[in-house]
Amino acid sequence: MIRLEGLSKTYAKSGGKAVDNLSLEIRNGEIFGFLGPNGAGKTTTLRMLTGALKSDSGSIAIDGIDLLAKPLEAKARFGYVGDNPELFNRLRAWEYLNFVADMYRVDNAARREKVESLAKRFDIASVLNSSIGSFSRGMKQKLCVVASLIHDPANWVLDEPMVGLDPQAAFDLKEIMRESAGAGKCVLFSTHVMEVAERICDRVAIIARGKILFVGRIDELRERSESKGSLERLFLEMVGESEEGRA
Amino acid sequence: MKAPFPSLLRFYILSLYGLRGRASGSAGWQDTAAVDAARPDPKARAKAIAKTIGIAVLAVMVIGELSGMFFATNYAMYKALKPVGLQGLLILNAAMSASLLVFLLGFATALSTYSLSTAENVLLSLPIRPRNLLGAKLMTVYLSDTALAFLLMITAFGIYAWGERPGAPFYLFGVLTIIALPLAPVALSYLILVPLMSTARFLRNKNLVTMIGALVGLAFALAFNLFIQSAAMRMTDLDWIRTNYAGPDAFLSQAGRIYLPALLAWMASLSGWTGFLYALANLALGLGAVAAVAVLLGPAYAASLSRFGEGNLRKLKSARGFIARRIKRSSPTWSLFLREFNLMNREPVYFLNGPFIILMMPVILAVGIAAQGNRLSDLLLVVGGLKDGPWLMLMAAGFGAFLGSATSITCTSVSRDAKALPYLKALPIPLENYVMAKFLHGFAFSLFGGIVGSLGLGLFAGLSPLAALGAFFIGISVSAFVDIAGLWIDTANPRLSWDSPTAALKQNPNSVIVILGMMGLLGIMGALSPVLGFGSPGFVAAYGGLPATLTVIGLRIYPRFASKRIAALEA
Repeated sequence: MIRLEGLSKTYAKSGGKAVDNLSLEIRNGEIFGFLGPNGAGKTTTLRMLTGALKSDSGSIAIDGIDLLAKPLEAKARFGYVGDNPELFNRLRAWEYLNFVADMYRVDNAARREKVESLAKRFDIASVLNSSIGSFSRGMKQKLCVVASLIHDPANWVLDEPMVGLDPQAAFDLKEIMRESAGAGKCVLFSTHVMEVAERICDRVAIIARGKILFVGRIDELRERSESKGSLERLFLEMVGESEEGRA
Repeated sequence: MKAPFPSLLRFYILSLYGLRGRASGSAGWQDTAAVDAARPDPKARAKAIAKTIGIAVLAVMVIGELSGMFFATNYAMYKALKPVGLQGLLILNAAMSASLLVFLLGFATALSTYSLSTAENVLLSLPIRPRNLLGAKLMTVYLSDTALAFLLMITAFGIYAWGERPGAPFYLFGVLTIIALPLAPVALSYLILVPLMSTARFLRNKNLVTMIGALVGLAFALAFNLFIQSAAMRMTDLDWIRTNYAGPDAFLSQAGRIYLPALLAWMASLSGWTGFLYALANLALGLGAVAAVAVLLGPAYAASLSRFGEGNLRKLKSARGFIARRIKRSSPTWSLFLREFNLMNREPVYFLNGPFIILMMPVILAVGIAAQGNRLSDLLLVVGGLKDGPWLMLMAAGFGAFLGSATSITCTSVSRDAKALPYLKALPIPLENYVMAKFLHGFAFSLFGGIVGSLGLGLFAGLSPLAALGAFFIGISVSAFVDIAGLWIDTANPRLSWDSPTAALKQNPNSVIVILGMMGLLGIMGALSPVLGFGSPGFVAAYGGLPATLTVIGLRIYPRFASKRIAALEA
C-alpha cells in the first residue's frame, strides 16, 4: 500500500510549484492510474514517491514504512519503472539485470527464475547478451519492466510504461499488472492515454497543474461529469476547466 | 525562409563545437538553451564569463605553442635558404606542410564526426538535397582545419615578409591562398571516407569510428611531435636543410611538382600582380573539388548515414543456459564498482580521455625522448646523477601522481550519471555506498597510474626497489587526494544537463579545475622540495603521509556530504 499525504514540491531552478498539497492512497490489490497532461506533476509525484526527489513537505509511506525515516526499507518494497529507459546503454542486458538484482539482494535461484519467465514473456530472452545501447526504445522499456519485477515487489510504480511498447508487449504488461493486483499487490502507473486507464484501472486520479482534480472509479468520474461523452472528453473538460480557472 | 545550406552549416557548427545559437534566432536546435542563458541569472552569467576566459586562455596557450614551433622551423629554414637565394621555397614548404596537416587532421575530424548525433538522422527525413548535407558537413570540417592551416602559413608568410619586404600582392594573394589551400585536402578526406563507409559495414559503428578517429589523431600527434622534435634538432644544420628542402630530388621539390594546390599557392604569393590568376585558379580548384565531392558523393553519404549505427543484436541460441551461467549474485558494493568500471571504459569518449591517458602519456614521453636522439644518453646521465638523492624518487612520484589523477574519473563521475540519478536514487542502496564505488573506481586507476608512472618509471630509471616503492606511495597518496577532491567538487557542482556523454566530460569545468589544481599542487611540491631538503624517508613521510591523511579525513566526511547533496539534487 502506498500513502501520500500533503506532498508539495517547488523546483529550485524554475521556482514553479510542480506539486501542490497532494494526498493519495493506493490500496493493495488495485491498479491505480495517475492521469494528467504533460507537465501536470505526474513524474514529479512519482519521483518523490520513489525517493528520487525530495519533497518540500508531506509524508510518504510504503506498506506503512515512512520513506523519509527508513528510506532503504521503504525502497526495497517497491519496483520502479522510470520515465527514461536510456539509462545504462553501455551495459549488456544481463549485466543490468544482475546489477538491479544485486541492489535488491535477490538470491540466485529467485533472480534466475524471474529473468527466465519475464524475459521470455517480453520476448527479450534471446538478446540478454546484447548491449542495451543496441536495443530499440521498446526493448529497453521491456528490460526496465523485467528489472523492476526482479525482486517480486509488493508495490509496483510505473511512469508512462506503455510508451514505445509494441501491442503484444503492452498487452503482456497489462496482464502482469492485473496478475499483480490479483495477487494482492499495489500497482500505480502514470499515463496520459485515457483508453489504457479506462480499460485496466480500478481507480484513477487526475492531476493538473500539480493539484488533484479527481480521485475515484471511472464510473464515478462519469457520474460527476455533466456530459456523457468518452473518458477522454471528460478528462479534457476537467483539465481544461482547471487551466481556465488558473488563467 | 532561410536557404537550407547556411542553416545546415550553422546546425553542424553549433553541434560540432557545442555552441549555443542566438536567442533571437527563428531556427536552430539550440535556441531554447540560448533563451534560458539570456535570462538575467548572475550566477549563470559569472559562469559563462569564467568559461569564456578559460577558453580564451587555453586558446592563447595552444596558439602560442603551435606558433612558436612553426616559427622556429620556418625561421631556421629561411636562414638556411636565403644565402642561396631559394628563400621562396619557404612558402612552398609551408603550403605543402599545411596541406598535409589539414589532410591528416581533417581525415580524423571527418571520421569522428561522420555521424554526429541522433538529431542528424532527423535531417535525413527533411527535404534536404544530399549534396547540401555533405557540403555543409565538409565545410564545417574545413572551417576547423583552416584555423590550423592559417597558423602554419601565417608564420611562414610573416618571416618571408619580414625578410623580403614584398609588395601588396604578396599579402592579398597570400590571404586567398590560405583560404583556398585547405579545401582540396578536406574534399580528399571525404573522397576516401564516403566510399569506405558505404562499403565497410564494420565501420558503421559509432564506438569503433570514435576509437579509430582517436587513434588516428593520436598517431598523428605522436608523428607530429616526433617530426617537430627531430626537425628542431636539425635546424641548426644549414647544409642539411639546403640538401633536404632545396635540392632537386628533395621531397619538397618532388611534392611541389606533383601537388598542384601547393604549387599554385607558391606562385600566387611570389608572382606579383599576376599571382591573382594563380590564387584564383587555386580557389577554383579547391571549390571545384568540394563541389564535385558534394554532388557526386552526396547521395552515397546520405545513404551511409541512414545505415550508420545499425543495431547489432546478438541472438542467443539457448537463453536458459545463458541465464544459468550469467545471472548470479554479487555483493551490492562490487556490483556498484563494476557498473562504474564498465560504463566508463565502454564509452569511447570517456575511455580515451580517462584511463587511456595512463597508457598514452608514457608513449608520448618515450617518443619525445626517442626524437631527441643522442640527447637521450645525456638525459640518462643527468637522471643517473639524481639517483643518489631523493630527486629521482620525487620525479617518479610526481609522474605517477600525474598519471594516476589525470584521468578525470572522479571529477566527472556524478555528472556522467546525471541521466540515471533519479533511477539510482530509487534503489534501496545507501548513497554513501554509491559514491564510495565512484571513489574506488578512480582509486583503482590511481593505483594503475602509480604502478606505471612511479614504480615502472622509477625502476626503469634505476631506482632501488625501496625507493621505487617510496615513489609509488607518494604517487598514489597524491592521486587519492586528488580523487576525493575531484569527487567532492563534482558532487557539489555536477553538470546535470547534457545531450551527449561527451559533454558530461569534455564540457565539464570540474575536470579542468581538478587537472589544473593537481598540476599546481605538483608544482608547489616540486618548488618546495629543495627548500625542505629532506632525505628520501622524510619526503615519503611528508609528501606521502600528508595527502594520505587528508584523503582518510576526506573519506570520513565526504560520504555524508555526498549523501545529502545527491538526495537534494533535482536531476
